[in-house]
Amino acid sequence: MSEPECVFEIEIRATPEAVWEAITSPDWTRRYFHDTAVRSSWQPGAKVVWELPDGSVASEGELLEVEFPRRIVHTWLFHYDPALAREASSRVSWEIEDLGDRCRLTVVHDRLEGAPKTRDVVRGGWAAILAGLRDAVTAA
Amino acid sequence: MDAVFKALADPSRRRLLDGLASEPGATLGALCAPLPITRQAVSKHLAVLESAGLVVSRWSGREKRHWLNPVPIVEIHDRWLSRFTATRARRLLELRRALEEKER
Repeated sequence: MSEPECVFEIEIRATPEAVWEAITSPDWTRRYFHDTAVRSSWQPGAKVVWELPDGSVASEGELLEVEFPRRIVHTWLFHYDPALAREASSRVSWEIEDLGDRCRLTVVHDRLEGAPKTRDVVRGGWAAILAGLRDAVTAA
Repeated sequence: MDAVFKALADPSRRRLLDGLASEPGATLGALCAPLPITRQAVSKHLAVLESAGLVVSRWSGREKRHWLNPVPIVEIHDRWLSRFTATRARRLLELRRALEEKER
């Protein structure tokens, strides 16, 4: 098993169900995920895509694990930039831990060995996305 | 946010974050090697960084590994800098770097 490459953690004053909703519904992702709308049936093996306002695909993956409201694991491949789209696909794991009055959301982006450009993008990228997700959820 | 600034106020802890930035997933042993302080002191510093949310640790088999969590730093950045002022500040830093390199 490869070591996790990038780990991001944030605490959110909301229920795990609300955080799950923010990750999996297009109305929510538009508010914090670079204007993209997430599309998926959220069944293991199904595709998941993040769609830009013009309908093009910013990034996509295949769902490896879906465990409501705790865990989502999917592959990850950027499409918005050809240099990134040529790289190997990597893996993203979302974990939601219930801490009573809040929950802890952890995103691990790993299997980045064949995707050095993707790694450079996501290193800074996830932190801003998670801070945006937290603000969107707590403002609601 | 107080916890983040307190954690960052110590030079050894900033060195530890430097170490984690260049070696994600480092063990305690690997982090101790370049620092002139005891393993016990490093372990205490890591605990402070972890409780401030700046470091995330996970067990991988029998080894505890550590990662720099950039989320609290992004929050500090976002509190005082809009996207526009951040870009201008970055240009000034780039200008200084370019000028100082030329000097050398």
